[in-house]
This record gives sequence, structure tokens and C-alpha cells, in this order.
Amino acid sequence: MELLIWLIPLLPFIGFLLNVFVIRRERTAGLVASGMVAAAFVVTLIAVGVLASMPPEERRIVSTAWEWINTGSFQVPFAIMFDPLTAVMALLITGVGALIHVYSIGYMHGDPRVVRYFAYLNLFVTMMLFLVMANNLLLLFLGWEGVGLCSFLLIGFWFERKTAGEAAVKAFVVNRIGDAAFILAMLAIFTYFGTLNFYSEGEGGALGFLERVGDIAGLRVGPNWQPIFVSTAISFLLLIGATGKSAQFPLFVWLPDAMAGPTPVSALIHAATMVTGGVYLMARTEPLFVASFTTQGWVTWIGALTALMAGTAAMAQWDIKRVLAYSTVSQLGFMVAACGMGAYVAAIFHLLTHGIFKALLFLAAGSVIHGTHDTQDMRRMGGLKDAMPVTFRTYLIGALALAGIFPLAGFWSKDEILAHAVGHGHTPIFIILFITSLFTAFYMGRQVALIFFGTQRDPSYHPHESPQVMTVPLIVLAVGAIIGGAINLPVLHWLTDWLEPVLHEQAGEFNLWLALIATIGAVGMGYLGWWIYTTNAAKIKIGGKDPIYRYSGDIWEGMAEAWYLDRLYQRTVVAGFERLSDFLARVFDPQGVDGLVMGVGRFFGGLANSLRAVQTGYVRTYALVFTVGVLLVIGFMLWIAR
Amino acid sequence: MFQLTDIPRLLPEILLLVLALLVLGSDILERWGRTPAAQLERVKSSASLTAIGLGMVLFVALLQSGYIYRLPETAPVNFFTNIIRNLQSGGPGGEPIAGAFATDHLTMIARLLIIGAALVTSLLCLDVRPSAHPGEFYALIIFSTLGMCLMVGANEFLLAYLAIELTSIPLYLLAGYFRNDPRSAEAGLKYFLFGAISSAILLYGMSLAFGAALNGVGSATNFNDLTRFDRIGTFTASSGGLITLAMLFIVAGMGYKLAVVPFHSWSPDVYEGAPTPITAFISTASKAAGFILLFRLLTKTFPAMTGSPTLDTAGGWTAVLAVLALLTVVIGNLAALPQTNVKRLLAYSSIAHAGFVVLGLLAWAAAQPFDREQGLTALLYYLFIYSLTNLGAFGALALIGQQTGGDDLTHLRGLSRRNLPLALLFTVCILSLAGIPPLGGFFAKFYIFMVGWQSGATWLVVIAVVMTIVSLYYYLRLLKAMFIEPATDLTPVSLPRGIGAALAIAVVGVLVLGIFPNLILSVLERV
Amino acid sequence: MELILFLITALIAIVGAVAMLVSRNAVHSALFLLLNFAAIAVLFLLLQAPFLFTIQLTVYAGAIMVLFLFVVMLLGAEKVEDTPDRIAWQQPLALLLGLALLVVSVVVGLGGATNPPPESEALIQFSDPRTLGALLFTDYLLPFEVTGFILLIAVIGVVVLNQRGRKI
Repeated sequence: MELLIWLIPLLPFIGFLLNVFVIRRERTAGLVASGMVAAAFVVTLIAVGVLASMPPEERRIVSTAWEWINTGSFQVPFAIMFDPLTAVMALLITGVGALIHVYSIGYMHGDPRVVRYFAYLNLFVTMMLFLVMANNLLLLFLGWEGVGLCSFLLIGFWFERKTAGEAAVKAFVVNRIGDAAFILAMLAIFTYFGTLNFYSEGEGGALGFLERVGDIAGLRVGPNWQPIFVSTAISFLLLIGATGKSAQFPLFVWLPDAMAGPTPVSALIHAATMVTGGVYLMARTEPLFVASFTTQGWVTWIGALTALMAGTAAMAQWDIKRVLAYSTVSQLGFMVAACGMGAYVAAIFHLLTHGIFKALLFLAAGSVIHGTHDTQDMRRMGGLKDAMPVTFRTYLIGALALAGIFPLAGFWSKDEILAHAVGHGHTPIFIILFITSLFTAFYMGRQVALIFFGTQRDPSYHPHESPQVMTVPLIVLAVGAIIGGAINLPVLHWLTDWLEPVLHEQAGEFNLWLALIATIGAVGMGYLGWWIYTTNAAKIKIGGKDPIYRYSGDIWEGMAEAWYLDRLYQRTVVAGFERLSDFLARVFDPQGVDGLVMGVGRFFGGLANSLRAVQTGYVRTYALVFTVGVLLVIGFMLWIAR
Repeated sequence: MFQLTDIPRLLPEILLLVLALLVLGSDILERWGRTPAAQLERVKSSASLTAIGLGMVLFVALLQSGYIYRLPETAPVNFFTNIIRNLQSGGPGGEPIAGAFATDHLTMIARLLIIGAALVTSLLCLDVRPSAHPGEFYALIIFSTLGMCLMVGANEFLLAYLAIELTSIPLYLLAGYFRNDPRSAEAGLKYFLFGAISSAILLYGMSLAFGAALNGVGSATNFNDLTRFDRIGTFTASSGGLITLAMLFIVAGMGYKLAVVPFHSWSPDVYEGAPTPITAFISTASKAAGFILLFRLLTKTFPAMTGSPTLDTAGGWTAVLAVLALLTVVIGNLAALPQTNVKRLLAYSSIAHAGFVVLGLLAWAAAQPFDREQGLTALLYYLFIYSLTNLGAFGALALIGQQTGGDDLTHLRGLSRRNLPLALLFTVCILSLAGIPPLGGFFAKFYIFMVGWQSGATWLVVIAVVMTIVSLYYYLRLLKAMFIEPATDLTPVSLPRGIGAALAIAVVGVLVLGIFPNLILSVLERV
Repeated sequence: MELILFLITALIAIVGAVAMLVSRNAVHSALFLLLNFAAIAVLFLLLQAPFLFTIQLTVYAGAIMVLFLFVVMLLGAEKVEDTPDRIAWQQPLALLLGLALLVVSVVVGLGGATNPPPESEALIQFSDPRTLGALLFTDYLLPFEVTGFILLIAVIGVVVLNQRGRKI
């Protein structure tokens, strides 16, 4: 059994190694990569079967490969585990991952670097599996950074596009802000618990920190400081880490730009798996979060605010992928808000269904882009439903699922979150999330209308349906989007029972009135979105403004720019750092700045000249800085010690 | 007193000296033509002699250390076991030789690090051609290595100071070795001028410490061993101002050698101007030796003034170092941002890394002796990983500079299409510097952050972690140039064997020590 | 008496050092340095270290100074060129900082209690050439050897720096 669970991350890793070192041909690369992930899916299924055969409270397999770090009190094993929560995550990653790999064979056909593409993709799946299977924070962090690195490489994969490089760097650096908080959280956890393990390793092993959260109850940070509780500090740091990876306010700015990568990458990394890492982290470390009311409040509000901001931003986009990107951010906000309200099962449920239908939407969008010869601007589309029937139908299913129409997958999971908000008295949160879900229906209606209905606005290309290797994964995912809600139907609540050993949560009440209102609202708003953009189709011009712009004016502009958050960062943080570093360079590094000008003269001037430059300039400046330094050190001593 | 039986304990140093003299004299037997072919032959022979010799010294030192193989007591007596037994009898342990040179585990480990770094450097030099006198070039590298080995074991002021000079003077010469290149000449001159200033400051501090100790001795008549670190520590424990001043001057003087802000201003210029393999050597081995000497100096000479890095009224050298670390981490990282020359960028990156290493020294303020040992382990681990990584990075850069004609960011463009293996090797080094798991750089950082956190310098750790975000930004610029930006010139870049081997050592080390850090941690723990 | 002598010598030493720095003629600078060396030699004598006094005079004031003067005169570099100084503003700043450093050092340095100095008899014994020699070849053998290597490197350095620059 232990060997079995090791196989899950190792299979894609073997695929990665093969693709890096052995395979040179496009066809084999695609087959091997997809095959490995599919095999991992099969192994995961078997492992889930084994897990299901155990008594519920014992459903956790921990396996240590070797002592990773073992020095003094600092001990971290290279250990993975398999429990119900990991199982559902691994199923999503390998299942959806395999389909996306297959799809990529068609989508990336003819690309000159396709072998490398599949290598990155396999590495990503490996890292993502380590992220969800790790039994300690350090290994989780390995996966966490690994997926970030793969994301960087894949966003920048089409480096011919100007924006790709910038977007890749931005994604990595913004993520790194979250990672810094993550590292601090690890340090704090180690300080207070003495271990980074989640759970004990087998029988009789030392307890993991999740099993010992009670130890820090009432502990405060620092003796003389304001009374911040340790649990609050740690969970808040973890929250910042999660906001980076899961693209939450205020760090969601990287995700829309990340759409510069190939579309299957957007589907796999930036919709179904990597971005849900933050939600997974919060669910995994749920005892720490539950121990702090303060953090839970922050989590809830960050989630709700993100959902609303991104939901409004999604309504005003023209780029087919950016709509989906903002939609993803918005849906992640739902999950985070659910975590904050303590509805972890609902969050995971939504994570799973969203993973399926958002992957479907991205892949279908990829099919549209593929069939329209790399068109992404929806103003240049229109009337594609006849040319691409399969894509149209699957897209529609995905859109309905996302909008939350009964009985598709999205309805059940979203409803569970809303019902929890109502049932536990989070009224303001409920209102925000409800409005957001109406917006969701609206922008999906708008998008479907813009892409598939009306007439083709840009006649310069001939749309065609994608090959079968791409449409078959779409159909499979569409089936999943229809029946996916079955895993946690109100009466049966299989998922809740399955996750009970990890999350210790009781099934929520099903609120029939709420379900009715939500469905009617979603249908109404979806229809409204569709109606506005089909009746006004003639007014939409390539490069023109949105029909609604006439009525809403600059608010629409603000929505299109996601409320200028990105620009705010550019003007304050980024510009501030640039100025500061420029200033520092000028003060401490005159030669580095003047180097270009001086360099030419020095090069031809020879030794004598360079000696003179040394004598008259920098050496004396440096000596001055040196003296300042000595003075500073001594003065500091005087100031502090006496 | 120096005993004849102490000679095996100094074996690595003696072998280094012999090797240096051999390399120096090896020129005589070569063809003395002025034709390029003859000169190349001389270069090749000196370089290979150096590399092979350093490899052998490293092997002997490894065998002597007993870290990899320790001869069991019950081993049969024959020719080979006798050799090993004799070697290992001079291994780590025992009193300092003549009170001046400690031969403990710290010295042994540091020796291995330094000789290893010298070996990698000499491999890097195999394909970078020094001027017409190759023998001197390589001999100077070995002399400098010898100086560093003495530096890490130094247990008293005189030897410490002389070892620093023995290390630095060859480095001044090496930095300015290419006299035709004004940048190199300037680097050498600058390095020398600032080295002289800092040596003076250091010496001043040492003399103050000696004076304070003399003062503390009172009427005792034997001053002979008063230059030893621990003796000074004993006699100055109660004296106030003078010894504080001595400590401050010593920290400032050593701060220069370690390029800690605000004593760093020489290093970007020197790093940029010096021949790249020498830059690699300066930024790794000499820094590592400096840190170990600083550790010995501070912990043995000033144990009474440890203080606390929490910046309360306790003061002490940990407080001073904490402030220096803060400045170093912040200014080093921020000043790296606008750089366009990769060597300069990496120079600032090494400055920033020195700031991280200081965190390991701060651990000495921890209350538990256990945490202090952790601090030293973390420090050594960091130095190992950092040295490997930086040797790899500068090595790759040496090759790139040689083949593309410059080391600006623009010369890196599209490297992945010109030589993918080289780009990948470079990438691993960069990612390790940026601290991406599972590479060694990540654990080194994490471990040292942990140690700093335990020592009470939480505020500093928080700032350091935030600064790693900034550092990622400029490291990514290198990756972006190599992988994402289009190449201006598509001629392939070749990867010669010497540099290839050096890079492979560095990258494999960084990978293996990241995935199995216990391999080295178990040795480092013996310190 | 000793104190007065010390004060006078110290004053001469400081004046010599400052004048060496300020003087714009290289020969003058060298001569002021000589003055400084001589004063310091006297200080050694006051500290009951006659051996160091001799060394200071013969090696520094004698050999090294002569070498300096030779080089200066051979190169004909008596006058420092008057080039426009772009960073003249730093001079007062440097002066200020130097003074501040001095003051702060004195404040910190004199902050602690001082014991009476060791007996002079022991000190005289300590600076005896015979004792020093014995120490160098016993306790300080290692540092003594290292100085030898440093001298060797200095010789190599001279060779290296004087080679006619040639590239391969």
C-alpha cells in the first residue's frame, strides 16, 4: 500500500524524466506524458478503494521514504500520506490532468518545443501531487514552489509573445510574496510545536502539529506585545500564503496576466489545480484556522471581497480567457469565504466541481481559439455555434454549471456555500456572494452570446471544429460537469461523510427556498446577459466599447481594469522599489550607474588613466562610506548599550 | 611549543605549500617559446598540475578527516592501514598546535570546503587563459588557499592576522592579473587599497584587545600566550570600554573581508573587474574563511559581550551584527535590482547572502547551548551550499563571458537556444541562490532563518524573508534573459570539459545536498 | 617627567602624520613620515622596549623611508597634479567624520575601568631580543613561518606586476 501511494507522484515524475532525457519526438512525448498521468489516476483510484475498505477513523496512510533533514531538534521526514482529503484532491489532479494532457496533444500539435511542454506539464503534476500528499509543511512547500516554478515556465512558454515573459515573472514574484509569509508561518509553527509534521507517522510516533493545536491555545506572541494569539499569527501568515497561490485580494493581479500561457496550461494550472492549492492548505490546516476567530473573519471577508471584485471584473472583459480568469478568481473567493465561515466541506466540494467545469470551459475556450486561428478577442467572434457544434454544446454545459443552474454540478456546490452563509448568520457575506453568483450567470450569458450567437464579426478567418483528440476530453468533462454534483447531494452527502475523518464536519441543511431563488436568479441573469448581447450584437465593433458602457460610463471602465488594483501596485509598490533601488545604487554604487559612460574612456585610456580615475574618484568615496560604517557601528553601540 | 608530532596535523597545509612551490617551479621544465602554442602548453600544464594536485590534497584531507571512512581499531596491520592510521591520527581533535592553530572539526570541515572550492576554481581556470606567466597565477591561487586554511584554524591574533594577509595579497594580485584589461587592473588596485585600510582597522582592534588583556592580567609575568583568543577572553571579561572598542574595530575590519554593508563598496567593482574564476573564488572560499574566523574571534575572544540581537539594552556583538545584517540584506538586495551587468548583479547577490549568513552567528546569543550549536551547523551548511552555488554561477558566467564577449544581461539572451545544458546548469544555480526547493539553497536559507528566529532576532528574519521576494525578482531576470527573451546571436556556445566538470560538481552538489541534506548535516553536527 | 616627554613625542608624531597627509609635495610627505616614525621610536623607548626602538629606527626610518624617497625621486613624482576635483565637497565631510570617529572612540574606549599597568620589570623582560627570538622559534613558530610565505608572495607579486603585459 505504501508503495502504491508513492507510485502516484512518481509516475508523472518518470514521465518528466523520460521527456527531458529520452524522448525527442512530439508524438511519443504526448503519449508518454498522458499515459503516465492516466496511470497515476488509475493508481489513485485503487488507493481510494483501499482507503474506503478501512474503518473511517483509520483512513490515513503515512509513508516515510527517508529522513529528509535530521539535525538536532530539527527533523523533517520526506513523508507522504494518503487520507480522504488528499484522495479527492489527487483524483481531481490526475483525472482532470490526464484529460488536459490528452487535449494538449491536439492543441500543441506542430509547436516546435512540444516535448519540453509535456516535460513541464508532467513536472507540474508531480509537484502538485506532492503538494496535496505531503505529510509536513516543508514537503508541501516543495510542491508549492515547484508548481510555482512550472507555472512560471509554462506562462512564459510562448516567449515570442511580448507579454508572456512579463506575465511569467509577475506571477512568480507575486506568488513569492505569499511564499514569504508561508516560510514565516513554518518558522512560527516550528517554534511553537517543534515539528512541521501534520500528523504522527504511524502508531506511536510523535504527534503532528495539527493534532496538537490545543498546545497553543491562549499563547501570545511575545511577552510585552499587544495580545496577538499565536494561533492568529500563524493562521494569518498561512492566509497570506494562500492568497498568493489562490489569487485572492490583494494578490490576485497575477492570474489574469498568466493567461499568456497556452490554454491547456490555463485550464490545468490556473483553474483546476494549482490555484486551489491555497484552499487546500486552509482546509488541511483547518484546526489552526478554527482556533482563531480573528483570522476566520479575515478569511471570510477576503474571500467575499475577492469574489465580488473579480466577478464584476469578469463582466467587462473582451478577452475570452480573461473572462474565465476573473471568473476563476471569483469562484476561488467563494471557496475561501466558505473556509472562513467554517464550511470546509462545501469549499472542497466547490473546489472539485469548479475544477471540472472550469477546466471544461478553458479547454472549450482553447478549442474556440484553436478553431478561430488564435483569436482571443470576443469582439472578433460571434456565430460560432454552427461551425463548432461540439465545442458549443460543451461550452454551454460548462457555462450553465458555472452559473449554478439546477441540476448541474455548480448548482449543488455553490448552493451549499450559500446555504451555510444563511444558516450560520453570515448575512452580509451571503448578500455579497449571492450578488456575485448573479453576476456569474450574467457574464457567462454574455460570453456565450458573444462567442456563439449572432454573426461572425471578423470575416478574416474560417472557423472549424477541433480534432477528436481535443473534443473527446471536452465531452468527458462535460459529463463530469453535469453529474459531478452527485458526490455531495443534500440527502446523501457522500463527500461530507468521506471527509469526516479529516474535517470533522456535519452535513449542512439543504435550504429549498434558497435553492429556488438562486436558480431563478441565475436563470434570469444568465438570460439577461445573453439577451443584451444578442440583441445588441450589431452594435459591437472590433475594438469598440461595450453596449452597456453607454449607461454605466466609467464604472464599466473600472470593472474592465479590475478596479485599478494592478495599476495601483505599479504606481506605488513597484515604482517605489525602483526609485529606492535607484537611489541606493546612486549612493552606494556610483560606478555601477556611471559605468557605461566611464567604461569607454577607461577602456581606451589604459592603465595610467584608470589609475587616475581611481585616485580622483571612487576610492575616496568608498573610504568615506567605510568611515561612515565604522562610525555607525560604534555609535550604535554607544546608543544601545549605554 | 611546536612539536614534531604536530606535523601530521598540519598535513593539508604542508601539502598545499609543497604544491604551490611545485606549480611555481613547473614552468622551468616547459617550452619557453613565445608562440601561442608554447604559451598554451604552459598554461595547460600548470593548470592541470594545479587541478590534479588540489584534488590529491582534498583526497588526503578527506581521508585524514575520517568523515567518509574511519579506520576501525581492529583493522589488520599492513602497509595501507598504517598509512591511513597515521593520517587519521592527525585528524580532528587535540589541543591547538602551539596554541596558535586549532585542529578541531570546525577547522577540518572548513579546510575541506576551502580546498574543494579551490579545486573547482582551478577547474574553471583550465579554459580561461591567464597571461604569459601561468605558473604564478596558479601558485597564487594555492597560496591563497593555504592562507584561508590557516585562517579558519587560527587561534591567536598573530596567526589570524598573518593568515588574512596570506589570503589577501595573492587575491589582490589575482584580481589585477590581467594588466592589459584596465578593469582588472583597477579591480586589483582597489582591492589592495581597501584591503590595506581594513587590515589596519583590524590590526588596530587586535592591538586594543591585546592592550585590554595586558591590563586585565595585572601583575602576572607571563604574557607569552596573551594573543590567544580564549586567553584574551578570560582576561578582558570584566573590562569595559577598551575591549568594546576592540570588538567594534575587529567587526568592522572583518566586515570588510566579508563585504558586509556598509563595508561592501569595494566588492561590486572588484567582482566585476577580476577574472571571473577569481571572482568565484573570492566570493566563496575567502568569504567562508572570513566567516569562520569571525566566528572564532567573536565567540572565543568576546564571550562576555555576546549580548542579544533583539536590540534591547543588552547590546553586544550580536546586536551589532544584527544591524549589519539588516543593512546588508536590505541594501544588497535592493541595489542588485537596477544592475545590468550580471557579474555585478551576482556581486550584490553575494553581499545579500552574507547578510543571511550572519543570522547563523547571531544564534550564539541563544540561551540554550543546543541552539548555539544549531547556529554553527546552519552557518556551515549555508556556507557549503552557497559556495557550491556561487562557484557554479560564476563558472557558468566565466564561460558565457569568454564566448559571448561580455557579461551583461544582453549577452545571456537566448542562451537556452545556444547551449541548453549550460543554460540548465546555470538555472539550477540561480534557483538555488533564489532559494527554491528542493535545491540546497532553500534548505540553507530555511535552516538559517530558523536558527535566527530561535536566537530572538525575529524582526530580522521577517525582513530577510521579505527581501527574498525582492531577490527572486532579479534572479528571474537572468532566467528570463536565458529562456524567454529572443537571442540576438544564435551561434552555439560550446561547453569545454574543465568548466563542464566544475559546473557539474556544483549542480550535483546543490541537488544532492538539497534532497539529502543529512549527508552533510551529520558531518557538520560534529563541530 | 615621563608624562611631559610622552606628550611632546606624541604631539610630534601626530603633527608629522597630519602634515604628511596634507602636504602636496611627495618628498615633503616622505620626510614628515620620517618624523612620525622617529617620534614613534621614542615612544617605544618610553615604553621600555629598546629593541623595538632600534627596529623602528633601522627598518622603518632607515630602510623603508630611503626606498620611498628613491622611488619618488626616480619617478619624478614630487608634485601631485592639480586636477579638478569632482568630489571636493567630501573633504570637509571626511574631516568631520574623522573627528566624530575619534571622539566616539575615545568616549567608548575610556568608558571602562583600567587596572594599573604590569610591572616594568616584566615588560622589559618581555621585549628583550633574546626572549623575542626564543618565542618566535617556539610558541610563535607558525606565524613566523607564515611571514616567510608572505614575503615569497610579495616577490612573486613584484614579478607579476612588472611583466610586460602580453596576451595570449
